[in-house]
Amino acid sequence: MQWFKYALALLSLVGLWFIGLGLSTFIPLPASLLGLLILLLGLVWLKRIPHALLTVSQFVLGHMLVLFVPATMGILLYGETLADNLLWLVLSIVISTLISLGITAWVCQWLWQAKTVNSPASNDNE
Amino acid sequence: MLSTYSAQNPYLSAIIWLTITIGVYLISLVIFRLLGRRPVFHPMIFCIALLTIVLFYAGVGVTAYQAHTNVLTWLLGPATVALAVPLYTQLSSIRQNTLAIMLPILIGGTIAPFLALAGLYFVVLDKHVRLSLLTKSITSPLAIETSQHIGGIPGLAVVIVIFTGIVGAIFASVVYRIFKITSAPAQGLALGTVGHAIGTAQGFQMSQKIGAFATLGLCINGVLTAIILPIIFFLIS
Repeated sequence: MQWFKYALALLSLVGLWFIGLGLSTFIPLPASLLGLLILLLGLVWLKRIPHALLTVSQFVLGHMLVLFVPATMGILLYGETLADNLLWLVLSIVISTLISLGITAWVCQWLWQAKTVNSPASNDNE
Repeated sequence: MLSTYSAQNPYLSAIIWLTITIGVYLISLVIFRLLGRRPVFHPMIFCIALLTIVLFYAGVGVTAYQAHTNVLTWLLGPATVALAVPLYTQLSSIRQNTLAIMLPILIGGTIAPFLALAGLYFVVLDKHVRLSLLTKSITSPLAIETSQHIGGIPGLAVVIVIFTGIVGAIFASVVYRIFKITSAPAQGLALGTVGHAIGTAQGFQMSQKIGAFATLGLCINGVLTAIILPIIFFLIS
C-alpha cells in the first residue's frame, strides 16, 4: 500500500510536468516552472504536504545529480568547438561565479543582521 | 562489444547505458564519501572521468550516449516540479523576511550572468555562445527552455550551468571564509541563487537549514530569470 502511494506521488510529479507542458503552449514559460507553480498552489490550498509526496520529493531532489550526468557529458562535445576561447570562458565563469557567490551572501547577511538589530524579538538568528 | 549491441536494439542499449550511468553515479558517491565528503572531490568530477573512460573503450560517441540516456535528462523536468515541496515549507520564512530574501537573490541573479559576459567582453565569441551564458545560474530544465527562447545553444547552456554549479559547490566554503559569511540563511541563499541544484545539494551537505535556504535561492532565481530574460529579449528584438 505504501509503495502504491509513493508510485502515485511520483506519477503526479510527472503528470504536473505534462500539464505544465500543455500550458506552456499558451504561456511562454518553461513547462517545469509551470508544473512547479501548480504544485505550489495545490499545497497552499491543501495547507499540508502529503507524507508520500514529501518522501518522494526528498528522494528525487537528493539524487537529482544523477539526472545531470548525460547533459554534463556534453562538456566533451563543446570542448573542441570552443577550444580557441576555452581558457577565457572557463576563467570568466569561475571568477564571476565566486564573486557573485560572495556578494550575494554578503548582502543577505547584512540585511539579515540589520533586521535582527531592528527587531530583537526576531527568533531567526542562531 | 557494447557498440555492436547498440546498433541492433535501441531499448537494450538504453537499458545498458542507464545501468552504467547509475552504476557510475553510485561509485562516484562511494568515492566521495570514502575521501571524507570534501567539496573538492565533487561526485560529478568522478562521474565525468569514469564515463569518459567507459565511452572511450566502448567506442560510443557522446551524442549517441546522450540519446541512449535521454530519459534521465527528461526526468529533470518532473524533478524540478518537486522543488515546490521545499519551497512550500519556506513560504512563511519568505513572508517574514521578504526583503532580506528577495534583494540578495535579485542582485545575485543579475550579477552572475552579467559578470561572466563582462569578463568575455574583449574575447571574440559567437553571439549564440554569449547568449548561452545568460542562463548560467538557473537549473538545467529551466535553462534549456529559456535558452531556446532567447537564442542560446541549449546543449552548451546546460554544460555552462553544470560547470557553474560544480564551481560554486567546490569553492563555497572558501568564499564564505574570505567574505566572513557565518549566517546559515546567507550561505544557503547564495549557494542556491548562484549554484542552482548542484549548489543546493552542497547546501544540504552542509546543514538542513543551509539546504532549505539554498532551495529558496534556486527556486526564486530560476523563476525570476526564466520570466525576466525572455521578456527583456522580446522588448529588445
